[in-house]
Amino acid sequence: MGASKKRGALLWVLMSLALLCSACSTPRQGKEPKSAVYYTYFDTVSCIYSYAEDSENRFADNTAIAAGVLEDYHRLFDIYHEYAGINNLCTVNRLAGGAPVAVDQRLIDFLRYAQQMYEITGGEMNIMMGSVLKLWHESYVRAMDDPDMASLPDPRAIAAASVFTDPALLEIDEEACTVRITDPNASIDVGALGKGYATEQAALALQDAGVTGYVLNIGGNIRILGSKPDGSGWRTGVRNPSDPDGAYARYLDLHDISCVTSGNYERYFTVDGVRYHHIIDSDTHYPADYFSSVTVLSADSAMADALSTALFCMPYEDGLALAESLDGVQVLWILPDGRQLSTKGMEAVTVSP
Amino acid sequence: MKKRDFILIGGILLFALAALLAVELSKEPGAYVIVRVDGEETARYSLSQTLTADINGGTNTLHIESGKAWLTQAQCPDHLCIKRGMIDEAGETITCLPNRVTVTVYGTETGVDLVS
Repeated sequence: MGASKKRGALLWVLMSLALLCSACSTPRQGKEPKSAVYYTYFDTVSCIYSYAEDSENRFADNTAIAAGVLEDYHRLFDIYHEYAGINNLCTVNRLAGGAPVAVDQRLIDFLRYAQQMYEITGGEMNIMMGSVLKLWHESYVRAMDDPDMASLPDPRAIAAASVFTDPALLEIDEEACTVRITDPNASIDVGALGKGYATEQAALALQDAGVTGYVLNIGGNIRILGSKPDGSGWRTGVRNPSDPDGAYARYLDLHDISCVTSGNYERYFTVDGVRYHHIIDSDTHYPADYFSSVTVLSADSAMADALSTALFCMPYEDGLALAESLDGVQVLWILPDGRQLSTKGMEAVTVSP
Repeated sequence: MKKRDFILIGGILLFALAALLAVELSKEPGAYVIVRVDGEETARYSLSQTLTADINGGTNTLHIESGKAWLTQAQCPDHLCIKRGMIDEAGETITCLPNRVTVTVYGTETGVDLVS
């Protein structure tokens, strides 16, 4: 009899606990932000969010500012199409080996920035990888058309193409406002930097217009302007590379910063059961395999974009040294086994689920 | 059967009931759905509204009402996505494979403003 009394007591404790747990999980009530979505820029989805108490008109005006900038850079950076009245990177690539090409000052500024990034990242962020990336892109497109026919680029073709990835093959004449690729086999690909740079330019245009409390999310390239109206940060989930649709690997509380993640789960194709993702190491000319994802925080979205790719392609120790040498850069590395490494400042913005 | 057996059975039944209640109460009602085409988010809609929206350029039509979401029209051979019916709990998904469209319910409890 004594034993069953104890059992009964235990059951009641368990039941009370169960009820208590359910009471804790009352959903947070949140207001939906205003949002605008564009499908036309950089082959990705662009979202602009705001919780600000702006009128619909004001929100529309602000999003138009950002969209205008994105549109301009989308055209300037497009390597697959040319547009009437402007010489863009597609033009520059097409005329590789020929005469200098007159381009917009904004393109000159960008290419200069890319050269700086090349220096800063020890060559890991190289926009002259076009010849190699073209081969990987072709394999990717083939695999998307018919996964059964997926195949790797020919290693000999990669070796041959890799000869034409020297950044010195790009000549910039700032006075004449022209650029020229000196070898017809070389080409520019700004996939690792273009979105981030354009996002930053759009953010700066909004800042100039006095806008705050907005977020630009250009295909995962996040740039936050200010805080939410109540002063709280933007709660940001970092995807778990082994389950991108599942629970987040980490939660960050972010104000006034850019956050960019490069991950091996984003775009890949499979050959003989092996995944080949889209982040190609400029040293090996094959997909980098140090990490599953690298998340970078920086005030500057172009910097965050460039570094997320560059750090993805270098060992942790080198990446940590690089991150610590730069102002206000925080990094989260997620290793293939799920382990997370991060800089101190990244820990400081990490919040509980 | 002895009296303590009844106590035990009664206790287990009560516990099962309480557990069921706990599960039912902690079921998170969805707050919004995210529409993805080819894995890329193309739209998100609050479930606290009544709305009919074409998604993926009209291959599917999404309807939201009374906190539930379902597809009312689909240009696909099997219409499995329409047969999937209503979804309203965080984590539930409607998939239209032929059109590469998914609609997933998200709650706010561990909700985030942004995903990187």
